[in-house]
Amino acid sequence: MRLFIIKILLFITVIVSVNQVILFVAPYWWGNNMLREKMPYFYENQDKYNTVFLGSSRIFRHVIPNTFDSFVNKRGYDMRSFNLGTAGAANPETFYILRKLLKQENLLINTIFVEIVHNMPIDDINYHTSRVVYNMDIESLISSYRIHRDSKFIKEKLHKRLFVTFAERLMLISYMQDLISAIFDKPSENEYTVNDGYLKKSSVSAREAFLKNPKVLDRRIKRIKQNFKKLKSSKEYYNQSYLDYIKDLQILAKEKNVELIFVLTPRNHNRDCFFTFQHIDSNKKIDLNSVNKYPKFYSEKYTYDVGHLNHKGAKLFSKVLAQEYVKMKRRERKKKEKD
Amino acid sequence: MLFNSLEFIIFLPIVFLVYWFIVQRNLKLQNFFLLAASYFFYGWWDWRFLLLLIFLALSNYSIGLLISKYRRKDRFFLITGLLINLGTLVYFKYYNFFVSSFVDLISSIGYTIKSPTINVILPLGISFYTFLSISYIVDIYKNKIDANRNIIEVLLSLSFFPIILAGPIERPSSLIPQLKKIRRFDYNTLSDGMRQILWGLFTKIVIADNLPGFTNEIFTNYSNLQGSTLLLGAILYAIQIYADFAGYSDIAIGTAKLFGFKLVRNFAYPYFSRDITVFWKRWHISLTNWFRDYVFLPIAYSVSKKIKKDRVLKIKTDYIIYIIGIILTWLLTGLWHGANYTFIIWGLLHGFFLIIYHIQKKPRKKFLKKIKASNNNILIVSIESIITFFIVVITWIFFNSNTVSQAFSFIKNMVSGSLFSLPELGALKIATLILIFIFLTIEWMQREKQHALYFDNIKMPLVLRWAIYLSVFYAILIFGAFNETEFIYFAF
Repeated sequence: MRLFIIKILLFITVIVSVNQVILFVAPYWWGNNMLREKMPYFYENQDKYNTVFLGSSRIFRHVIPNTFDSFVNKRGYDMRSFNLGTAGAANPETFYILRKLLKQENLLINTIFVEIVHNMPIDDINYHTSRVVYNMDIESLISSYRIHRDSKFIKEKLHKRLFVTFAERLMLISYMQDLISAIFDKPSENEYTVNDGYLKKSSVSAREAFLKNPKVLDRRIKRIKQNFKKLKSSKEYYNQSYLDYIKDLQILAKEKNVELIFVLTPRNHNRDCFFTFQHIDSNKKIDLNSVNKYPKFYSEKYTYDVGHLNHKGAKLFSKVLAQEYVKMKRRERKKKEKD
Repeated sequence: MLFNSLEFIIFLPIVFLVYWFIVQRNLKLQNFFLLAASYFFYGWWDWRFLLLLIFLALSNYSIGLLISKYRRKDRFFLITGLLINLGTLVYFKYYNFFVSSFVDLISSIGYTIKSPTINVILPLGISFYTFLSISYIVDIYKNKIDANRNIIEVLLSLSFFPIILAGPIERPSSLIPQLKKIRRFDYNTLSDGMRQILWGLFTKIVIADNLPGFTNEIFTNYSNLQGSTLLLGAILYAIQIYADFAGYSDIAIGTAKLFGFKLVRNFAYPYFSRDITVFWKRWHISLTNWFRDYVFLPIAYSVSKKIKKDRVLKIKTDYIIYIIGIILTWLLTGLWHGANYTFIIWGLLHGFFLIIYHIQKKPRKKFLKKIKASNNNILIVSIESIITFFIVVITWIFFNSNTVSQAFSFIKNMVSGSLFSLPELGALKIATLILIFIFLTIEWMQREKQHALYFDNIKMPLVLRWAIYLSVFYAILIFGAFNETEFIYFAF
C-alpha cells in the first residue's frame, strides 16, 4: 500500500515540477490573448513609452494614447503612453499585471494609470480557461481571496473557483494548449497594437443588444447616482483587503519611482470598487464616474453599448482624463511651492 | 458526477483513502462505506433520483426474497418484479415515444387525439440499473443464484458507483460473490486499475472529445457537404462513439480495480473484427451478453418448443428460430438505446447483418474450399474486416441521426459522385487525425491485452514505463478537450 501511495505521489510531484518549469519559461501574460499581442510589442518598444494604462475594457476601449499624449504634451508634460487595458479584466487580473510590471528590472516607464475595477475573481465565462492565469500566482490568489471575502456587494461567493483554478494550475489541466502557443508562437502585430493599444469597440452583437433595449443605460445611470447618494450616508464602508493590496502596490511603485494614478471610469456601477476608491490614501486619484459632473459620458451620442463609449466618446474621455491629469499635476506643483 | 469532472477527481481519492486506511479490515464496513459513497456519487447529480434508485433496489431485494420463498408455486413475484423494473424504465424513457407514435398512427388514419405526453427528466443510468435489477431477480428465479438476505450487499450490487451510470452491466451474480469476501490491497490490481483509468481518460478526453466539433457539424449540415466529407464524418463518428464509451468503460473498470473489484470486460477492440458476430462479441460486451441470456435465448427456447417440424416453408427450423430470436432481440437492443425510430432501425440493421452472416457461413466455407484459400488468409481477413467496419459505420449514421429520413438523405448524399473527391476538414485539426492514428495503432499492438496500457506480463524497465505514463498524461494535457463533455451513453 505504502509503495502504491508513494508512486502516485511521486507521479504527481514529477508532473507538478515539470509544469512549474513550463510556467517559469512562459511569459506572465500568457493566459490573456490580448496581452499576448500587446505585451511583446510593448516590451520591444519600451523606450518609446514612459506611461501605461492598465484596466478593463473601459480603459482598453476608452483611452486613445495619441489624444491623451497630445493634450498633456501641449501643456508641458512629456507623456508617451501605451494602453495595456484588456476586455473583461477585473481587479485581480489588473493588479497581477501591475505587480509583475512593477517587479520588473530596468522598468523604463514612470507613470501608470490603474483603473479601479470590480472584484469578481473569476467570471463564469473565464472559469476553467487560461484567462484566469492571474489567480495561478500564490500572491495574487491570496489577495483575490481576501478581497473577495471582504466584499459586501458580491452576492455569489466564488472562493471555490479560486482554489480550483490554483489546483488546475498545479497540474496545468486545460491550460496547456494556450501555454505552449504563448511560449512558441510569435505574436502577430495586429489591431491590438496599431493605435498604441487602443481599439474602438466594434462588437455588433453588443451594439444590437443595446439598441434593442436602450433603457438599460438609464438603469445603470440610476445605479451610479445611487452609489453617490449612498456615499454621503455610508462613508464608513470600504473593502480593507482591497485597500491593503493597493497600499502594497503603492509601496512597490514608490520603490521603483513610478507614479501610480488610480482612475474610476464612467459607466462602472460596481459598489465595491466605487466605495473603496473613495478610501484610497492618495492624492493621485481621478474620478470620472460621476453622472452629474460628466453627463456627456452617459449621453447616447457617446454611447456604444451600456458599459462602453463609442469612438467619439473615447476621444472625449481621453481628453477629459488628460485635463484631470494636468489639473492634478498643477495642484501638486502648487502644493510643493507652498511647502 | 462525471468521471472527467473535477468533483470526481476530489471524490475518488477521498473514497480511496477512507476505504483502504479506515474501513479495510471489516467486510461489513467496506461494503457499507462503498454503498454510502455510491449513493453520494449518484445523488450528486440529483438527489430525487437517488430516492428512485433506492426504491428500486429495495423492491428488488424484497422481490428476490419472495421469489426464493415462493418460486415453485407461481411466477407472480417474478412478473411483479419485471413490471416494476420495466414499468419504471418505460415510464421515464419510452412513455412519450409510445404515446406520440400512437397519436401519429391514429392521425394517419384520419382521427385526431390530444397527445398526453409528460415532461420528465430521464434518470441517469436508469437503463443500466434496471437491467442489473432484472438480471438479479431472473437469476434467482432460475436458481442461478440464491436470494441474498444481506441488504447492503444487494443494494451495493445494484448501485456500485463505478458502474451505476453507464455500466458495464456487471450482474449481481458476479458482483455479489466479490462483495462477500473482504477486499485485500493488491498492488498489481491497483496499479493496473490506475493504468486503465489513465488510458480511459486519454481515450475520452483526447480522442472522443476532440471530435464532436467536426462530427456534429457534418451531421447537421449533411445536405450541403460532399460525399467524401460525409463519409469522413461517419467514420469519425464511429471512432468518437467508440472512444467515448470504451474510454468510459476503462475508467469504470479501472476505478473498480482501485477498490479490489474485477468487472467484466466491456470492449475488446471491436473495430478490428473480421465479421459482425465478432464485432458484437467485442462491442459493449456486457450488454450483448445480457440480451443474449435474458432475451435471445429465452425467445429461441420458446420458439423451438413451439415448432416441431425440421423445416417450415422449406427453411430449416434452426434458421427460423435464429431469425425470430435475432429480430426480436435487436429490435429491443435498438429500443434500449433510445426512444426513437433511428435506434430501432440501427438495431434491426445489425440484426439483418447478423442473419446474413449466419446464412452465408456454410456457402462461404464451401467457396473458400473451392478456391483453396485459407480462412486466415491475410487478404481475406483484411477485406472482411474493412467490410465489417463499413457496415458498422453505415449503421452509426442511423444511430446519430435525428430522424430515419435524415439518415437516408445522409447516405444518399454520401454515395454520390463527390464521394471520390477530397474531403473538407472544416473544424477538424490534422493533429486530431494523427492522434487517432496513434491511438488505433497502440490499440492494434495491444489487441490481445485487457486494455491498451496493460503491461503486467511485460518486463519493461521502470524508466520506460514511467516515460509511457507521463507521455500519455501530457498527451491528455496538451491535446485534451477539457470541456467536461458528457459521455454519449449517459443518454441511454
